[in-house]
Amino acid sequence: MSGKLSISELSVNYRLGEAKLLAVNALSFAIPAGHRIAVVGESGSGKSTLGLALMGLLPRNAEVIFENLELDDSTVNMNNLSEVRALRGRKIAMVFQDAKASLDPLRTIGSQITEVLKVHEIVSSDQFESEVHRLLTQVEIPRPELVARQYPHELSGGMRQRAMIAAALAGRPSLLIADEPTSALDVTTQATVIDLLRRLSESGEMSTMLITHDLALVASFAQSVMVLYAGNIVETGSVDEIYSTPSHPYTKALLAAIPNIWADRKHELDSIEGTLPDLTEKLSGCVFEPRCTFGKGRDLCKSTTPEMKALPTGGRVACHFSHEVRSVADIRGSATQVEVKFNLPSTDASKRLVREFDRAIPVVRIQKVSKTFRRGSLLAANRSQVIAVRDVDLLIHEGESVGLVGESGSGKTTLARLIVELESKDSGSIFVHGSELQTSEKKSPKGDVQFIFQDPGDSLNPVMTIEQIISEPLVLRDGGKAKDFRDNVARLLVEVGLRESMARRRPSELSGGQRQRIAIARAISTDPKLIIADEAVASLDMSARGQILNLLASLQRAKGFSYLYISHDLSTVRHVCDRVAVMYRGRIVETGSADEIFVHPEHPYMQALISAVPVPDPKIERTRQRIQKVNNMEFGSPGENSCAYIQHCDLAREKCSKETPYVLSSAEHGTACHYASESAERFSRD
Amino acid sequence: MNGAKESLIQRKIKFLLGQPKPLIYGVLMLAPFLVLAALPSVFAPHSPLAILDKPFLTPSGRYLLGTDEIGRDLLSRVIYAARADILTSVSAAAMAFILGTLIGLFSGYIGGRLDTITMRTVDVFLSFPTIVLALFLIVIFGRAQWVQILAIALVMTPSMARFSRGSGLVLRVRGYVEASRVSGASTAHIVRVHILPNSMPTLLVAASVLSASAILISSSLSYLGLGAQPPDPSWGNMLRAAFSFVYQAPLYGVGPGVCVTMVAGAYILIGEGFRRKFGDNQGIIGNTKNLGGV
Amino acid sequence: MGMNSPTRSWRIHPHQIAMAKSLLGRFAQLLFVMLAVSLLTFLILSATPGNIVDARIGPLPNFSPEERERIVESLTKQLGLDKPLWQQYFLWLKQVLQGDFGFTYQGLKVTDLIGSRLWPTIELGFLSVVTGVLGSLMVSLLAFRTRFRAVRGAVQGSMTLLLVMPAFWLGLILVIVGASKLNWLPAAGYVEFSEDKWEHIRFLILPVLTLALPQIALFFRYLYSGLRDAENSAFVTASRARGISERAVVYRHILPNAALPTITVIGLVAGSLISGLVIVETVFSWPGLGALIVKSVEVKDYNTVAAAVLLTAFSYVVVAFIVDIIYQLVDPRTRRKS
Repeated sequence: MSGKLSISELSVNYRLGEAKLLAVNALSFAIPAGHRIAVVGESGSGKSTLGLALMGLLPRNAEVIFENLELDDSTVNMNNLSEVRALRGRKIAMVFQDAKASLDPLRTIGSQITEVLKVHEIVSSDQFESEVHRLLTQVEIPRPELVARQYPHELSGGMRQRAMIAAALAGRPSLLIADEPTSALDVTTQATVIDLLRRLSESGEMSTMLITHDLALVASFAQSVMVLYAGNIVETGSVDEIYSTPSHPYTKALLAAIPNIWADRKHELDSIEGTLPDLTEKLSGCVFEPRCTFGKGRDLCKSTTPEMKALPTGGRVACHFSHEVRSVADIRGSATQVEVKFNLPSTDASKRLVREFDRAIPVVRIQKVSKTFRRGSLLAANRSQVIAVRDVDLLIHEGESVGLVGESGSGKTTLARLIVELESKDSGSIFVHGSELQTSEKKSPKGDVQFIFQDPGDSLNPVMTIEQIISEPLVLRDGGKAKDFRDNVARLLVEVGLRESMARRRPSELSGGQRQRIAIARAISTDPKLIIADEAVASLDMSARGQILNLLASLQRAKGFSYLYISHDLSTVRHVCDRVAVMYRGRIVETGSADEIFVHPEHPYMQALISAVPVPDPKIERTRQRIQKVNNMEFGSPGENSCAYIQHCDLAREKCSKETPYVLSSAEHGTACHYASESAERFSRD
Repeated sequence: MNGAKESLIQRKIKFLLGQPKPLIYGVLMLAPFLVLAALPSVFAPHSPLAILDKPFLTPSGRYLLGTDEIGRDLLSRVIYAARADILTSVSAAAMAFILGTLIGLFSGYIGGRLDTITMRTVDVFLSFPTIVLALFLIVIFGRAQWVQILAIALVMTPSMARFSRGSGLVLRVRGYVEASRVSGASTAHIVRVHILPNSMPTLLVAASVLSASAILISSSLSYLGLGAQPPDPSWGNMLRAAFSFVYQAPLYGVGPGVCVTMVAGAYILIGEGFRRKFGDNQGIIGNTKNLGGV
Repeated sequence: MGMNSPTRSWRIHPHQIAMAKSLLGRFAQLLFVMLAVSLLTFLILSATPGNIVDARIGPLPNFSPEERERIVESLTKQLGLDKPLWQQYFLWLKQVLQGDFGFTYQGLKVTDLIGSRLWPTIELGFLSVVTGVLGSLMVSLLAFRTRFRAVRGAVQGSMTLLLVMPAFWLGLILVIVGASKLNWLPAAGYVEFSEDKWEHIRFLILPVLTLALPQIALFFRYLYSGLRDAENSAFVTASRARGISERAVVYRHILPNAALPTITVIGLVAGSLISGLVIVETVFSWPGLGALIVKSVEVKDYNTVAAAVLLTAFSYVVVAFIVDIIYQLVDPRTRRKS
């Protein structure tokens, strides 16, 4: 047993010119050997600084002050570089967020792991190869002999992350720090990597510290949770305790902000108002006071910094009014509620709604549309082609929100870009408001369809003023100059919850959430019939995310346009959409009303997606059976006439390799699976 | 009134001093040459062509840089040479800049077959050795200054086009460009409103590097005897003479040599200044290194 | 089995076929470029003020004007110059492909003349690139690894200075210092290697330095910023986190990744070396192709110029091809996924 860690009074300062930024403030905590702890906080909470400080990898302008640090009963001087270096990779190892960037692109996986074995003299040189294979097997990489010879770019995201974990394990560390190890991964992969990290530390040989912003993620993983805010520990305790009875208002708010795919979708999402305090200034009182729903304005909170105090349940909290926080009934997310939502029946009302839609003229009608991307010039031999969209049918009716879900590379963004002619289709037809794209002489009027992009930092021209940005679609449609539309811009700014005076500013002066509001204002400026929102909240912080989703919902209620809402994040889709289409490898594999599809998914792929969404309740998470995206090599890779999901399906049979299943476009709930009913049955059983 | 005026001047000075150091140094270094080029007769102590004294006199109070092989004042010749060299290089750089930017931005933004054709053409031009192509053109079309300017501009345009094309390629996938396309914007609108303004920082850096290349190419041509024709002075042909007389007058070439280096260096400093001023927020400034000249 | 054998066996990679295919494609592209270059050369040639026939037969001092006229006429027919331009081009191309570039003004075969100038140019060019690469490697690592800001600043400053110095001015300085002041080396000229090998090398030093110093400066720009970029990349932090020694991090991870973009630049410079050689060979009276081009342009010896231009363009294309191969060998990402 190893991995016993205790830290007392650890602080980290960054020198920024004259100012000093206190990133980590007098942290003290201890974990027993073989423990799994999750460190949770928003960006700027100091969680990554903590990890890098333990590795001695902080940038040069950082200053580390500490009282004591003990790992496996030996003390470490964190300011002695050679002492810290000796620990790196040997006693403490680290896994980083972006596995693609964190592996040397010019060296094979095997040679990078061997390098670690060599430098720490873990095994003798004649055992390097077998040790590498053992490590790759340990992180559940199939065909380790092959992967050892491959380069990072040849592996999928999940495999790369596993390879990086293998390299971290090579030094047989007693503490493994994983800093956001899954945030660059797809949902299904995310779940399996977290599961792997848990299994690796279950033997008790090492402790694991999972650093993440996503509180939902840790329910299945951690034994204890430490919540950081602005460099301070605000609460720490066992995972059950934190989820069931959070004692700090911040923890409670974080839990409430987790969008829940099993919750009723029509309520407003909770979000934490305000922003992090300026850490370069000396703060008095509680750091969370300005944003706290319990303590805001209270004298005690403003004047006195709360001490860490022990809770009756074993945890510790830094809050003057923790007893109040604990006594207030939980808003949602409790175990019983979740269970009820699991079996929510689809209502007759929603079925009726779907039928009515069928009769109206659709805003967008997509028929048998395909798109293939070819890379490389005609002569180049490294020419390749990717079928991004294949035989897709889709209807979007007036006033409807359609969610398009799928992992990265499923073709959902391409489909959206085809609708607005940012790409041109190869075959099939797309009708926008009755007129067909690329053929019809009567074009649908400019600005009928608008797009909201993922990255608001990228979608606003940095040299233009907000007024010019918002009025651009109007200028393009009606002619004239930006200043002719001053009144429109002012009204639009108010509609998206910003002040009129913002019109004169430039994008660089705005926060991420504000920029996305500007992008929304631009999108609604022409009163479009359809707004396509492509991962519109993915790049935003948790708190801004909720606000933007609420804004999108309220604007639709007020104006009655349709949404095509594209996301890999099922919980936000659940919140926004009436109807959902699931894409996999360019095909729509399942479509139906949101109520129906989230509760009774039929396609094994959609079932895997839903299974991968963490339930914010550790008790359920621990016992939950996941339907997984498996690696099924029985029928080879998917061909022209097989099911696209055949390689990852746990139900694949002979028929799946011979006949491509299609969704019946007339069906209310259609599934492109030969064994949909069987599949549906086993999901409800689980 | 007076007070307001002064504060405006003060503000301007403050603004100027707030610019990146390389930019300030570069401009300070370039400015005297521009003045000399504009008004050589004011600053030159003698006529550049008059034979005044014995050949190969060492620098003295009368002839600050000494005299050349037939006894003309070297300082005056260096000053008059600035006019031809700077005019040639600035006009050539400007032409290459405008032409290359237009070709490159449109080619990069529009993409597809047009882009392929443009870039293959650029490839062909780039595989021609720069100087040799310029030599060729000058010999065919004569040694007039406008031929030189056109020749230098022509050999620099392809690399400028390739560079600004990169900028067009990077910017075409920006969200604001796509948002504009979704709203029905024309290509001309997008290039004018979005691509050009956002490429400007990089293009300014490129323009500086281009100007440095232009002065190096133009002085190389006159070194090879294809620039200003004797007896008119140019820094290149003076250096050529200096080389022939390196044993008689080792310091002959110092004046023109330092001048070429300073002008080219000033452009590079200005480019570096722009680089620091605008930062690399578009991720394309780094590519200006590809414009490196002779 | 040696200590490194497992590592080495991983490097063998089943990509050779994909690589060969992609090189074949690249080769086709290069053929196209060469064809276009030849067309351009031909067009420039036919736009020259003098007649191609004049250029081909030279001054012919022993013939009367009438006789000359007759010869011109018959040759015009023979060369197909009365045919449309595109037919002329193919006739010309056919000859060129057979290695026939015609004669110089002095009546020498162009191919013979160029052949005699080839070796000194290749020697000078090759040595300068080797010096440039090794020099920039040393200078970049010095600036990258030093703890002293002053050293870094001095290196960066002198590199910028070298970059903006025209070759003939740099050459002049080297001559003033090395030849006229210190009298170590000859200022200009050439001695055959077979005649006197030491003297040959003494004559080589200044021109090689004049060519190599700006190259060092240019490669330094790329290599140094590559080192800085690689230093800040995540995989370097990750390597440190795995406990890899600082030395190994620099030489095994940072340097190879930093060198990649520099390879392209080295290729570009090596391919267009003739631009520098034109100047440097003229400065140092080096009997190579560069000096020949200048001289031929001066006397309007178009056949020689055309041949030299085609040859240099060809060398550019070949070097680009070689760089492609090297790049694919070094960077696994340019190879196709299996």
